Amino acid sequence: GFVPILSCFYAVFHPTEGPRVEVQVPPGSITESDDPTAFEEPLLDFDSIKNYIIPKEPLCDRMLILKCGAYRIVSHPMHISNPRYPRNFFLFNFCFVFYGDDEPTPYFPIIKELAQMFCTLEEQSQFLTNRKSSLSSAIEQVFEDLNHYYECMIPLDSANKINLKLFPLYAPPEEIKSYHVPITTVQLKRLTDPNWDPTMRRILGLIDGVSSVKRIADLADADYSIVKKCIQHLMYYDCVLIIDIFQFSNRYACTPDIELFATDDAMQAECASYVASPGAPVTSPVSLLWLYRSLHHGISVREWATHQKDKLYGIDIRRFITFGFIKRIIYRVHSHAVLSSVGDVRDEDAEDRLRRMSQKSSTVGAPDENAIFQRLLKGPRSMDWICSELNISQKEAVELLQRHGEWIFVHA
Amino acid sequence: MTATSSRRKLLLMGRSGSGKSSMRSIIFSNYSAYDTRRLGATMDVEHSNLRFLGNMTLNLWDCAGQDAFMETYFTTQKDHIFRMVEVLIHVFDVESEEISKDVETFALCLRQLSDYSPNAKIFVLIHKIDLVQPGKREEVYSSMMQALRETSKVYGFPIQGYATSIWDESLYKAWSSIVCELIPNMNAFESHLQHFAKISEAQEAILFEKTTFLVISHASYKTADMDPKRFEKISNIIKTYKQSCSKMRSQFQSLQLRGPGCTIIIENLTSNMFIMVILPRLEVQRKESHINAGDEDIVSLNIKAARKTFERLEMDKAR
Repeated sequence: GFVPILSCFYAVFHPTEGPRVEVQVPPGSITESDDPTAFEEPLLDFDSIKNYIIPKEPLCDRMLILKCGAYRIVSHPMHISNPRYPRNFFLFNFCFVFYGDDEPTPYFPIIKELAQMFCTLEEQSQFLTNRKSSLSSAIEQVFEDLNHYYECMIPLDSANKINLKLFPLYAPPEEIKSYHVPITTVQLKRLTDPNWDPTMRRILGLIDGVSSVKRIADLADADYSIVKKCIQHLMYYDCVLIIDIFQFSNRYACTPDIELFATDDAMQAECASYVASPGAPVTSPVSLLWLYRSLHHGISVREWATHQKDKLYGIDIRRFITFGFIKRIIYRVHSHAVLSSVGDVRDEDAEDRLRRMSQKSSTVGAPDENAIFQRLLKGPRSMDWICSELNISQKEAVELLQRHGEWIFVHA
Repeated sequence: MTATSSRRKLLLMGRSGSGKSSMRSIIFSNYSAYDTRRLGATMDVEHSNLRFLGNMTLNLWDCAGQDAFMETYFTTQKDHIFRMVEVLIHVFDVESEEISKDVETFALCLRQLSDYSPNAKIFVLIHKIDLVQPGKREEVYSSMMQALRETSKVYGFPIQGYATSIWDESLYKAWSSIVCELIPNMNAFESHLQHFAKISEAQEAILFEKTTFLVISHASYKTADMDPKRFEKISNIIKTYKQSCSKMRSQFQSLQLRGPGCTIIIENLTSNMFIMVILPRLEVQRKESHINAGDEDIVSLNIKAARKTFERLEMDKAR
């Protein structure tokens, strides 16, 4: 849902009275009202903020957000200069009041649209300065409909209507790496139609929770950067999640959110049913918690699986790890390769080797490997990245590195 | 010792649409009376800082007259508005349909001033007088002034009144008086100017402020048959002439007029003042006169020589 609108009001600059509230809904929310259904006390003191609701000309024609007491007022004052008005201008503002702690960002585009629409109506037919009665009911309806249905379509007169809809605003998707693995959270096949982007349609079938982004791009024979964008689109709309390549050499550790798993019955039940191997009995939540807790930096999944063999009976390990990761109960511990020495520094061979490694045209190994070494010498990289780039397993990667110097692996 | 800059707060109050911002823009911003038509309404308070005569700064508070704003001036903002006021200029619109309410507002201002700025000087302008029939103007002015004097007596403030209009020179007369009230060493200016006029054998010498062309001081001899409104008329005429010059991308520097009646020289006296010297007709020159026809250059030299003295006077006034 969207955060609620507490009040909606229309204010103008009156030539002899100054800034004043012409329409307010609910009644009595901004200034005192005689209406029997009015609020006992207004939500805020209009007098103290009137200079920001009806501001000087340089602050007009833009969005103004005001925090007043416990409330936040979002408005878009408009200034129209024209000699037809008594003081050569007309200033009005449609304002929306929210709770101070709420985030009203989805309302910004519609508040701006409302202001611009009424500005045009006023310039063309003096709608605001002439017809005040219909405006009151229109604003009331905007308030009701937006709060209940998140959209409204209200006719103003025979030619004009207010047409607004709230769209949810999500956070921009995180940057994804080539070795990240997307896993679907919805039935994507049901949502597609022939009008979707061709690359998107090509990769949809390949998102299986096992293949990395790079692998998907390779398999689909599609441009990597476009595939990455497609995946990010799917992430934005919560259709896929990103997990790591599952390997038994991976390491995982608990996050502080393990506490949530311990107290959330629904999560425990969901976990138990998700991780159970076909036909196996459901494991108890206590065991699941114990197993999650037993993962740490110093142990790979392979080693851990060996130690916990008894407790892991009837549990699909990959699903177990995936569930923990998606729910943020555990996090992936990456291994970074750091060159500790190329032999004695005084040793000419070692210096040579280092120099050769850092040169572009070096022949330390295959051309691909050279590229890897260039990058490695510039900064630490995770083993995942190396494996993904060269399409080799962790074991092969470690062997490759150790052929060209002494490397230590930092787990973080 | 360098004179420190002195700031003088002037409050400009009056009902909405009475003409406060129009006056301000004509006197201080070179608007013509016609230009003021396109001004919008003032929102809350419009502050202008105007340098006047070198190191004096006029802090003009143009206060909006709409009800909502006036209410806050007398309640939540009263100490902010009414503290440290040197001059209150209260504008009354002759066309107002609620004169008694206007007078009440004036009384409220005086009450606040008696609390926060008891030494403030009060000026009342009966404005838009051009909209009253010429025959009735005196009457309208007198009756207003009577009501206002009665009101101000209650609070112990003496008041000075003027009937003004943006369409004639009356505006300049009122504002000249207002700013002259703020110049502490007015007497020094007057006596030095008189001395100068005597030496130059001038019929009259007038000091004008450079930007606004408001009259600072004048020294006159034999003024019996001269138009008493000539000063403000001159302000008005020269200001308009200056504006025409600047429209042609040229800055007014000096003026010399020779005519059968007199010779007039207007020149920079200091960087903040103009001086206008009126030399009499040849026939009325005294026998012992040392000035011959065509000797305006001598006057220019005299002006140059007097510059230092007047510059010193300008700096002194800060004290």
